[in-house]
Amino acid sequence: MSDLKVKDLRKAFGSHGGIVAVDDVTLEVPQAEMLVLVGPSGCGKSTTLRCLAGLENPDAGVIEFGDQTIFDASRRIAVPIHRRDIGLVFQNYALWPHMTGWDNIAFPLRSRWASREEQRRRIAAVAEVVDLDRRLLDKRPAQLSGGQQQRVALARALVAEPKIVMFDEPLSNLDAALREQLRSEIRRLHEEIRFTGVYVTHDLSEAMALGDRVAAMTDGTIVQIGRPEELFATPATSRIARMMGYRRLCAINRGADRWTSTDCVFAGPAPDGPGPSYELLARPDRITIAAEGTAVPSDHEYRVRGGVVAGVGYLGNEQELIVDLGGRHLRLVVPLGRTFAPGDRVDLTARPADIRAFPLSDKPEHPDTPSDQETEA
Amino acid sequence: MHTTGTVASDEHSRTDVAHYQPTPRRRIGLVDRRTAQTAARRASALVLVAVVALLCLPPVYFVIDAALSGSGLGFRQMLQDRTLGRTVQITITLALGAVVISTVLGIVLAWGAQGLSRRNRWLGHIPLIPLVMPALAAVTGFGYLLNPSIGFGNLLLRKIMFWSGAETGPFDVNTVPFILIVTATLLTSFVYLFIRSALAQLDQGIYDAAAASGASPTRAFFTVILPMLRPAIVYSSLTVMLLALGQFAVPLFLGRQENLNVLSTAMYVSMSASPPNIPLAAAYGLPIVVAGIVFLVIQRVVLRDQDRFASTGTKGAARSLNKSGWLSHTALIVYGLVAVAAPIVSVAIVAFQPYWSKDIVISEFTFDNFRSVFANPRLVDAIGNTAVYSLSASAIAVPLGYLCAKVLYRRRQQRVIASIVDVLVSMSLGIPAVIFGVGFLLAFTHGPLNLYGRGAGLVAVYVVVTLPFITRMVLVGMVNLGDNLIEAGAACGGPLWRRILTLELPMLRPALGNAIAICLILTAQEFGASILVRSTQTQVMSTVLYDQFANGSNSQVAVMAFLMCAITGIGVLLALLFGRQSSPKES
Repeated sequence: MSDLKVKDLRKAFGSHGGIVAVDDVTLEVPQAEMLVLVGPSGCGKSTTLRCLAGLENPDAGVIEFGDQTIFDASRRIAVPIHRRDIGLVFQNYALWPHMTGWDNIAFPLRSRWASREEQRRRIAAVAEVVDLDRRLLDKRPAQLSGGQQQRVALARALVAEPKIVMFDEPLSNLDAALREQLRSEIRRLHEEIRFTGVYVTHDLSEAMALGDRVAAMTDGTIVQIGRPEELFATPATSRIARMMGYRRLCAINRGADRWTSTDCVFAGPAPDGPGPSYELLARPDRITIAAEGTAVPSDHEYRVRGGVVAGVGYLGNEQELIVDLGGRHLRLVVPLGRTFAPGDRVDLTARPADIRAFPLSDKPEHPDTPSDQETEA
Repeated sequence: MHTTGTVASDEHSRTDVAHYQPTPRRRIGLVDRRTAQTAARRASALVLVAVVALLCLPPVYFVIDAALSGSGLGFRQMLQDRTLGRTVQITITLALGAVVISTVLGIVLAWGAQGLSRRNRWLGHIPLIPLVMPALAAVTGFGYLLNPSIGFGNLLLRKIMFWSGAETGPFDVNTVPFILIVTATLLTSFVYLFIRSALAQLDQGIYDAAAASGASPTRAFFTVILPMLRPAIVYSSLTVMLLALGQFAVPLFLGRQENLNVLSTAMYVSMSASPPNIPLAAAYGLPIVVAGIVFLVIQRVVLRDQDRFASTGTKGAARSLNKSGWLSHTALIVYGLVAVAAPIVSVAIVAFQPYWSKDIVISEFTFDNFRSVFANPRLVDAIGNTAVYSLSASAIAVPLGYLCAKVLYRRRQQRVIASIVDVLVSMSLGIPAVIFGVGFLLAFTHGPLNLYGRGAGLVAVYVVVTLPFITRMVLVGMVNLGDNLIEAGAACGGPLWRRILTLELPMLRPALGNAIAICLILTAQEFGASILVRSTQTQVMSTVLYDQFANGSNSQVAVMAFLMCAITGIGVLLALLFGRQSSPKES
């Protein structure tokens, strides 16, 4: 087990390095910590992991495992992947189909010239740790279920006690129930063995559940890194906020003597900051909906008037409302009890503590950033 | 990673976990030079390029050199040849006609096979048989079948149809139309193979969407399926064009009687003259070399933008919605009877008859012809030589093909080297074997290595001729395998040699098995190059068969053809068994 330090890591693709996948990434993972890299597809998280593993050669930067430099572009050091002493769990498991589960797990030990007795002892131990029935070890991958295959892949990554264990979206091929089960298994394994881990995912709930710290990536850079609850409560940018489930309530512009809004009727306290225009984001579960004009006006809340219910869906113990805000659709999930119908005019309100204001930029949204119309409450 | 003393929760602690001991650590070097790794990789790739270039380039160089020597003496002689016009005309007729017939027939058969029911799916393998069937056996079979006077097919037709009064015909295999039909029938397999593969890649949803939009099966086929197959059609028809341009065995065997030549046979005639007219032979061969290279370039250019023909979906191969399929059943069975069964049965009949006769009397069938073949030491030697040369060529060509495939698979890392390897390996695909035969003959007799008359010479020829097929087969295996499984081995700490020996090669076993099988089959049947490079000490089955044919020993020709079919059949069966046993299931 070792800590991991990455400094100014850069990787570009294309004939002239025109496509920058990883752009000056710097991070530290203390010993026994699990760091989760989260971000939309194409943000560079998998490339970062592949650089750490040695599957890609970065163009610049330094990578250190403990006190050992395993990559340094300026000193032309690049320890090949098989000598980095890592464990890697792949998205598609990457189990060798011609080998039994036992042989798959034994491979890292054989590569390190472990004795047969040592192999037997360690495979038995790791099978116990990952909750893998010993009888399954004699089967080939094709004879195992998806969950069992993933346990074999986990055992293979852990069996040689590598310095760093890396996970490249290991649960994305599983169904929802199995994904949740294995997610808590990985959490348990990490708490039990306390390995240093780097975990890549685009799934926010996975990142929150597994990470001691979470690094949010966009456009090849780490935009924010911190404990899951920090990212959740105080997202650094509107894109991170959207990744965390925040959705746009409205945009406001600084006028000569007051704030105005082009896409909604706005009332509420002005955001702190010198910018000329802001977008106000809130988590849908913190937005209150009421029939137009029924809520008591207050200066201590943000209020968006002029919403129209565009659709109502029944979800069992909750209901789903699609609210049209001047052409933008906002999906809200609200408790049953209040009856709304399409065409109803509504007001949306949120407390200032639940609102995040971000300066509006001219830069177009990344295509994979969750749009306001894909809201999950 | 360690666990002792750091277990977070008591309820999760286990005895085995408590006994987790550190694994023996291998010493890890602190510094590795990227430049050294890259340089080593590049150096080994360059060595490979040098080896492949040494094998593939000299024959082409010597052909071009001989054609241009003496201020174009060969070309002057060729232009003075009064039969040149007729030769070029037959060559072009054969090439274009074969493309049209094979492409149409191949598409019809492939689409028909796509609609076969599960029970009758075996019928879909019939059009592939000519790929492994010895070409010489097929050609001699067609000769026995459609000989105008005593061909079994003609006899049958005369008996059951209205030509009963005639003494000859109705068909004459020794004419240009029948040389074309036989060539096209045999080359249909290539089109069928490529179109079948392309159809298997198509998503059924594509066809279903057309049908759901109201398109009849015919309209859906012509407006949706056929345009999607364009890359496969272009690739296969260009391949057929190349093979037909360099077609040697069919015109040599069937056109000999009427002195019908194509460029390749004219080249062979010039080389067999006494003394051999090398400049003239090279001049006949050069247009085929140029055409081959041009077609290879066209193939590359046309297929560059393949993405717009790729379909995405999950339902698997397109399949006809109405599965009546009687037409496809009939087409496949008729093709099987005409292209496979009829020539092989004809060969078998002549092999077992005391002598080739129009009267088929089963009670008179005898093994005498087989006995006389096995009593002839030349023929027995040829069988032994074929086995030794085929196995030796496979032992060299398969590892070489694997290395070439490896370079091509890692194209992103070594673009220039990969492109050179690609061109070198593809050369023998574009240039007919008979031209390589001439080139090798010149290289062996004029170059520094005198391999003429030695087995090593034939082995070198076989390596070059089979290299493109082996490389493509292994490359497809590598592409299907993907990177992840090998990367997983590296991530687990496996060094390169362990990754290759314990992961890559075992997982590539089906592809390697197929490559060995195709190598053995191709070399055991090889004729175009062997006929030029062989000597009296290095006869192989195909060359002995031709000598017997030239001497008019029909019975012994039939026995040799029959033996070639039997050996190939056994080889294919073994390959199928090997492939089935070794095919690891994907996880």
